[in-house]
Amino acid sequence: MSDLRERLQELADAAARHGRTAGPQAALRQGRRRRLLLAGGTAAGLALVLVASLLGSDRLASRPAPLAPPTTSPPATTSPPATLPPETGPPDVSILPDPGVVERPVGSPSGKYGEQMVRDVASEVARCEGGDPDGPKVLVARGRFHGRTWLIVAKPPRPGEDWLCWSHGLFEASGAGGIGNHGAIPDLPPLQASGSSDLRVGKQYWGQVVGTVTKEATRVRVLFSSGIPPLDLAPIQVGDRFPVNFYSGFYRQPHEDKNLEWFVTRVIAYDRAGRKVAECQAAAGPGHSC
Amino acid sequence: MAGGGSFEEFYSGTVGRLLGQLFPVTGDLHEAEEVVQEAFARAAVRWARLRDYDVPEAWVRRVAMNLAADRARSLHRQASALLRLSPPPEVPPVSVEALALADALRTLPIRQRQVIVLYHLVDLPVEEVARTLAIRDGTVKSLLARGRRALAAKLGEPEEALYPR
Repeated sequence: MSDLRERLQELADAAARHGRTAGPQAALRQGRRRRLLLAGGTAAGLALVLVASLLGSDRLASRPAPLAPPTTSPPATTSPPATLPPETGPPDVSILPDPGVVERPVGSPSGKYGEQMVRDVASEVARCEGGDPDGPKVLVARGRFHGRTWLIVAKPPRPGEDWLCWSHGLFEASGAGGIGNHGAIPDLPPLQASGSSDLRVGKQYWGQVVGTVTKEATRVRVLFSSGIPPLDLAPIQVGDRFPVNFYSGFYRQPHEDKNLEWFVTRVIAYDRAGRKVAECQAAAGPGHSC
Repeated sequence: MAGGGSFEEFYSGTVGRLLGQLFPVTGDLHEAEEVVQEAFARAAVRWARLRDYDVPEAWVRRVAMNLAADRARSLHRQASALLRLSPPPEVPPVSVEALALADALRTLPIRQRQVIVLYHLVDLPVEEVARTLAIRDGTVKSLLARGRRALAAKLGEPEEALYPR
């Protein structure tokens, strides 16, 4: 009778022999596309960072509160793929599939690669199984953070569908950047958080927290370890086509280099009366979410 | 692998081992392939820094373990009916005993699986297991004890046979 270690080793050896991965080149391509590099900012933005202030008045303030209801023809903000610029960005984005119709109620990012950023993130959403496969992908939020552009694209769920496909992206002005794909999660939770932790500017690292939150919430508080002050974020109102709202914010990492931790420990959503309406816990460490 | 060479060399030298370590955690070979590949993708963009780590493989393993835990939590939210209807997990050909272990591991909470694999397969000390999973040493010991007990019960074998001293 073999002991546990021997049996585990047998499983491991078999997996190593029979497992097939896409290889290092695929990992490099995938990594480049998912990379989330952020420019840092000043300490003034550390203690309290509201999404609206990050976005700037030309972003959220001008956005219509509820998104337009589904239409049978593309709205004026929709740009069919044929109008997109040719492959002018970094090479790795050309492998993305056609995202189909992308609505842009918040307007497209400016700059040479703005359209391509939207298309890249929308392509990730298009891969997700939830929602209407032929329906539009919607750019629900965008903003800038010290020269970088971040985006959130989502696909409206079908009636009765309790999940949501959405992705966020963060790009440098050159169009290089990365995408986080959040896929379809059955039984859509009232609060989700994910993000990145090694967004570098000079010697300073920043982290991002991005997620979805129940529509009851009027404030999202992110708690950190390592003495990082809490971060309060205002949910981004995206209208009735989506069962949740979104939020995004950035925090300053406590160390100057080689800091790969995502220091988020807990995220709490509060309603207008200050009551807690949702909460999620996150263990520290790379690759984590809550 | 400290001060190591190219990412490709690192990948080729470690991917099999990491697949082997993640498979008992995920219980599904395809799932293990996905989380390992994703962890390598995250390592790829940080390679300039990771290559100087004493053990960059530990970083990739940690990310893969976290990704596996995230996926397990997502799956847990699925309806049990859906889980029953889902295809059986992909398991490479192994002995009956190892197959029984894979089945038994799959019934344990993800944290217990991770701790058992990191301690008994990867041979990490308790402190290193705790650091990898960002939990306390005491929690590791507790998870180990509960996991071993549960495994022995699932396998119908006495604990001392599974964990000879």
